[in-house]
This record gives sequence, C-alpha cells and structure tokens, in this order.
Amino acid sequence: MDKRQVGYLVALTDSSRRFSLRHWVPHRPHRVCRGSTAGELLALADAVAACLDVRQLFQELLYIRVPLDGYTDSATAYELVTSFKDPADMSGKNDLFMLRRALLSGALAELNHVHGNANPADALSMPTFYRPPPNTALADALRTGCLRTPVIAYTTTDCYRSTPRPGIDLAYGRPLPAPAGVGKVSQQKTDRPPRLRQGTAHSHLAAATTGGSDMATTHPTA
Amino acid sequence: MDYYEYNVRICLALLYPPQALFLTIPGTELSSVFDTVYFSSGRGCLSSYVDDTLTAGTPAFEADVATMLRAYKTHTPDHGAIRFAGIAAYADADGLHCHGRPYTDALLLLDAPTPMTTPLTNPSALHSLAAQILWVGRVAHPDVLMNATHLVSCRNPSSLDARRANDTWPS
Repeated sequence: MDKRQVGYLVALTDSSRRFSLRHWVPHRPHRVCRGSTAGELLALADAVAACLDVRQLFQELLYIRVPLDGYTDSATAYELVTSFKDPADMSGKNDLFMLRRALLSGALAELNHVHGNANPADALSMPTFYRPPPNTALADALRTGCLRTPVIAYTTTDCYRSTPRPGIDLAYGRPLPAPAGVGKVSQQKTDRPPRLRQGTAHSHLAAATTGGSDMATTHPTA
Repeated sequence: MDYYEYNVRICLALLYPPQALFLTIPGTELSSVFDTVYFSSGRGCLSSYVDDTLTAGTPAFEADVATMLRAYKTHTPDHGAIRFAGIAAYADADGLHCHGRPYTDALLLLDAPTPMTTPLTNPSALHSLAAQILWVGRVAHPDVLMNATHLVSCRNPSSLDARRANDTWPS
C-alpha cells in the first residue's frame, strides 16, 4: 500500500476524558513532502486549521471560548515547532511558521508530544488487518467513550514565551538534560488530564494527524 | 403586508440566504463556518441534511422549532433515540451517545472460501461491501476507514480480502 498518507482527528474532550469526535480526515498529502517531518507538519497545520473552524462553531453556538491543543507523536515536529531551529527540509517551512505563530499568539494554546502507541490518529494511516496493526487507541476510545492520551512533553503559549525547556535530542529522540539553573521544566511523563483554565466549561477539543502520526487538542473555556 | 414590511423583507432577502425568511425563530443566524447550521446563541441550533432536520437546544427553542415545522406538515418529530445523516443517537444521564450500529449491523457478509488465495468469482460484491464500509466509516467509524480504502483499491481480490472485509467489525 502507498505509504503517503496524512490525516488528523478533531475531538471535543473534557477533564473527565469523555470525548466527542468532531472531524477526521485521512488523505494523500496535498503536495510533495520531502521527508516524514514535512508530512507531520503538513498534517498538524491542516489539523489546526480544521480545529479553528470547529472552534468557531462552538463559540457561535455556546458563547464560550474553546482553547485549542495540538498533539503530535513526532518528536522532530514537536521540537521544531516549540524551538526556533530551522528544519532540514524546507518544504515544510510554511507550515512550521504557521504553527509557531499559532502557538505564540495563543490560537494554539498548547502543543503536546505523545507516544505513537497512544496516538488515536494512528488508525487513519493503515488498515486494521495490517501486520503490525495500528494501535487500538481510537477503537478503544470509540468503544468506551473515553480518550486517554499520555503526554510525553508539552509546551503552552505561556511557557513558550518565557520558560527554558530542555528540548529533545533529535538525533536520538530522547530528552536532553535540563539547562543549568532552570527550576521549572515543562516536561511530564504521566497521563496528564486536560489542563483546566479559568472558568473552564470542562470540555476540550482534540485533533490528531497521521503521516507518521500527530495529534492536536483544544479545551473550551467560558 | 404593508409597504414598510414589504421593503424589510426585500432587504432581508438581499442580505441573508432565502432560508432566513422561512426560519422565523427570533435571533436565529446562519453559522459563518458551516452553511447547514443555523444557531441562536445560547439557545440552540438547527441543522438540515437533505430532508432531515436536527435540532438541539433549550425547551423554549425546541418549542419554537416544533411550532415552525408544524406549519409545513412535512416532518414527523422524533425524540430520544434518533437517526440523522447516518448516525444513530440516544440520550441518557451521561449525555448524548452517537453510534453507527444500525448501519454496521445491516452490512451483508461475503463468502470467503478456503484456501485464502482463491480468487473471488464476483469482485464487484467485495467492492460494494467496501463502499458500504467506506460510507459508515466516513460518517461514524474513522477506525475502519482505511480498511475500506484498501479494499476498494484491490484489483484482483482473493478470498483473503473477503475475509478482511467480513472481519472489519467483529460479529
């Protein structure tokens, strides 16, 4: 089967991990991606753009603000968006700049790095009868009505502006040691529930992408 | 209709889509994002799909919609367990649960003779089933969407592909 495949999920979730799938798109890339990172960035940018539409509808209907969080299982894409490094592959540069601007401005409130085994969008990249099959995160979520996505690392709009992070060694895909003198590190390896913001309505919206696989999430606040 | 009201209606027809003239619930607007959704902020929303209409909102909003639809005599109200645009839904204390079971249960399985390498005598039956899986997957089951995409593109399907289609949803 052709391996060129990108896709994403958009879901509304809440602090009790209930979720509601709003939108999903698996498709061939709209343009040539010279490498998996460009594919991940393309999918993540598409996911964020789709989330903005869905969020607008929620804001019209409910008159509440809906924060948008992004999830990706690509360490490289996460590291590029949350740092100011240049990508080796320039074909994804427009998507990268858009994502950085979204994260800086708060349109994307948070970007999370998740493990590929827990990324629900993995099911959008291959059939269930493939060996090895895609992970069962999406099927389990649809069966149980709860979406659990353990987060390896995350960066919020606030800490993107002001907090040093240890970063990820892109050559080996493992976290770098924290810089000297840094007290707070925005890294967490537990199953982190959605972060509640002031006046939150206890729900949040998620989008996931495959190309490899990425995922993005948002929470609504009043 | 006096001259003033006539002019107001003409202005409305120019400013808004024609549906706005027939959607007489006060404060209802067309969503700026999805052109099949009308909403009244904080009260409720109304969506249409071909000949079906789905509404959700406060009791007052629901009563307004029911009053409006009675004038057309084309709709039969359906409360509680509903079907809309390929999705079945029911509500309970936990919230609204959506699923596609009525549609997945209606899929007819194929014969899958052994050995698994046997070419299918009627490949169009497999393609038809794959198209049905694709439709259900697009509406309610993203987890099996890629199965359908793969099966549709099989040019010389074998018994193994029929088995894969049958196993998409465990019985």
